[in-house]
Amino acid sequence: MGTLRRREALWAYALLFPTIVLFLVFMAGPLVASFLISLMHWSLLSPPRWAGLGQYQHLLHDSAFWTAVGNTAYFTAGTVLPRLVLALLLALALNRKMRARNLYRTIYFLPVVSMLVAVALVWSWLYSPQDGLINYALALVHLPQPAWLSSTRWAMPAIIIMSIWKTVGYDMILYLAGLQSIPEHLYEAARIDGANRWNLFQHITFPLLTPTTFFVLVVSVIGSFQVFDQAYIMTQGGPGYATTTLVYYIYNNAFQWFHMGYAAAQAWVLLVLVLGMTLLQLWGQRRWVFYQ
Amino acid sequence: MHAQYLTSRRALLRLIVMGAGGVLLTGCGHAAGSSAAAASSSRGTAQAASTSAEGHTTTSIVAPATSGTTAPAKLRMIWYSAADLPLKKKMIAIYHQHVPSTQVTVDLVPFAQYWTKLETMMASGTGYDVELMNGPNFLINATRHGILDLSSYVAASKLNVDQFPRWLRTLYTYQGHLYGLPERQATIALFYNKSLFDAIGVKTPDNTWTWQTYLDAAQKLTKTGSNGAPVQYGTVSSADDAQEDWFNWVFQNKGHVLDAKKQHLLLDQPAAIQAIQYLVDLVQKYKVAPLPSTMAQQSETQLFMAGKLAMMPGGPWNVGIFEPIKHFQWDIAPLPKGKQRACVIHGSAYCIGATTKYPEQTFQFIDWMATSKTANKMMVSDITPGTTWGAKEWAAATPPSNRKVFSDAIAYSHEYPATLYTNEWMDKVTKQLDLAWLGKQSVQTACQAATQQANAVLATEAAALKGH
Repeated sequence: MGTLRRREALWAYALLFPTIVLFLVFMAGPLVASFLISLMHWSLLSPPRWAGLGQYQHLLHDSAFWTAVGNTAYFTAGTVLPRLVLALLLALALNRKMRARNLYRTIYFLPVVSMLVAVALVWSWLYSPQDGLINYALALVHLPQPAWLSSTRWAMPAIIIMSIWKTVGYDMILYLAGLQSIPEHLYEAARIDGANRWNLFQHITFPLLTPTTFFVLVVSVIGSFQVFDQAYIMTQGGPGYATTTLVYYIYNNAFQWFHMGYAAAQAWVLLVLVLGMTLLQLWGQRRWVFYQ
Repeated sequence: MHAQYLTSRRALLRLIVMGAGGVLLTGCGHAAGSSAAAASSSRGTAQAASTSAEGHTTTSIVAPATSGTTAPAKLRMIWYSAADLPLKKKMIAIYHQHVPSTQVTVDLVPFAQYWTKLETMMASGTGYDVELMNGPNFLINATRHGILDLSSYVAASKLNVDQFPRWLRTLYTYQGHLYGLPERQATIALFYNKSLFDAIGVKTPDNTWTWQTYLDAAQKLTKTGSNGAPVQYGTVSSADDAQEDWFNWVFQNKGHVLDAKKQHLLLDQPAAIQAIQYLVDLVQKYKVAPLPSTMAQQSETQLFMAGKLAMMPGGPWNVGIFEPIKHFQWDIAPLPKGKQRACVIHGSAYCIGATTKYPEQTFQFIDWMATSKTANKMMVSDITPGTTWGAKEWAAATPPSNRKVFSDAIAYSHEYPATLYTNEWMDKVTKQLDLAWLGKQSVQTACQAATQQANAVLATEAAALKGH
């Protein structure tokens, strides 16, 4: 008995070994290294100098960093909820029996698999104040035409709109999977009891989708906090600091200005922020997520 | 387009837009482990000594081989401008005829990834032999001994460095030692669409022009269409193109970007604020220059070439860009004079990567590329070479008839403002000035905020330099 268990354990470790090695080399190692780097002054080529908590102290007084945190929160607030609502509506619409259903699903999913860099470029043309398609459409219906990416007020909303368009298809697919896992007999029983369509949604669909909603929420908050490409391609963080996001600022510090220590410290603040928010959501989900 | 001069964010964006395909396709690649080991292990002691951290140099051991007895060498060069790659390859081919034992290959890396790539290659010990530097990025590489101190090679080869403009030498000097040989140079002058001036009978710009003449002409040359939207602009000004734009006006107003010790920004001084105010007024008050939102979509070069822009400050690279223009006449004049005549001078430089196995051969090569008659002759077909005499040769050519403005400007040019952390403080300054140009913030406030933030960066820079 004892030898069998030991042999089994040995096999288990043997099979886990590649994964453990990969985890240590590509996850745990860099994690520890980045924390150590955050305690130093290091410009990549010159030998690192010890800084202790100096980088973190510097962070406290760096107004650009806090602006970047604020912008990232703005972006997150602007994208997460609309993504959830739109994705749910799309999923409900495309879950019905209809013609060319798969075609529509594909169309909505296309932006997700398109390269963000290319998409961001195309959108910056759409947003062109003089000859962009969006302002052309706005002019037709006599609405004001903002300067979009060149305006301190509208640059962030422009990026938010584009990002929602880019990612909503992914959330939609998750919702579709969630919808399809709801057993049909629940609906049948409710219909027999005289429930109308709104009742069905309110008492069956929505509660049984809460695990999906929770998953989408967690993933999209984490994703939103890491927003980078849009700011990098479309606005370079401007005008002014209007679209300087946390990861864009980290990138600049690390790979444009070569302050590796300072960038690592910011990355750790980002980690703590994301971790904190995820824990908060995990704690909160007990109150509203309903498992079958 | 001519990436040697790229120092601004918008210029970078333009490049990204144009090179999007390239950007997407360029991976890292290249660093073969074995060659990395070879490069670091076989690094000559002489060379290590010449770049020791204390800055002591040992001249005797590193004397380059006298010409004719060159040992075979395979050199790798890294370049960021696709536009003049064909010319560089031709020059390299000619050099190979002169010195058959030296072979040079070129890697093109788009500007958007260039500095990061250079940095990571250096960090992994597989840097290039010949590296192209620009002003804002030079000190980052020099202070960390990523590139070689050239002074001993210059002394041994009796190279006359006075043939380069003074401020270009200064730009590539660190702790009194020269680290780069200027590859090209750019002063700034005023390009104008002669046909537009002639059409309304306004006198074309010349060396009598002041800021007032400039503004008057710009007002006459700005036209709005029937719907009130501008269809033709008198001139341009923007926060993003410091080199082509506000640096020059600040200098003309006897202002400074940096103090003499390069430890503080002086944009909050009245002379600088006044100059910036003048430029912002062109956009916001007199509306003779396009709004930033227009500039984000169409560069001044595009507007000019479309005949929608009467005047624009620019560097000699525009001469090549404007060559295809057929439907109107254009020429060059000095920038309108402020309290003094002034403009900024910049130019990229050939440097030698510190990991090179062939320092002598590499120096011989870049010396030839920068200062030989043959190389300069080839350069002038395309752009102003780094030497003053080469620039004069370029200026003697036509069209346009007035190229001499650029070589004359060397005499009154000012040093390009650069420190170790140029990119960082320029980013902060540009972000603040953007707000002034957008009319979101007064010039005074923007200049003060820019100065304050830049000074904070310069303070961390001073602390970092102490560590060197």
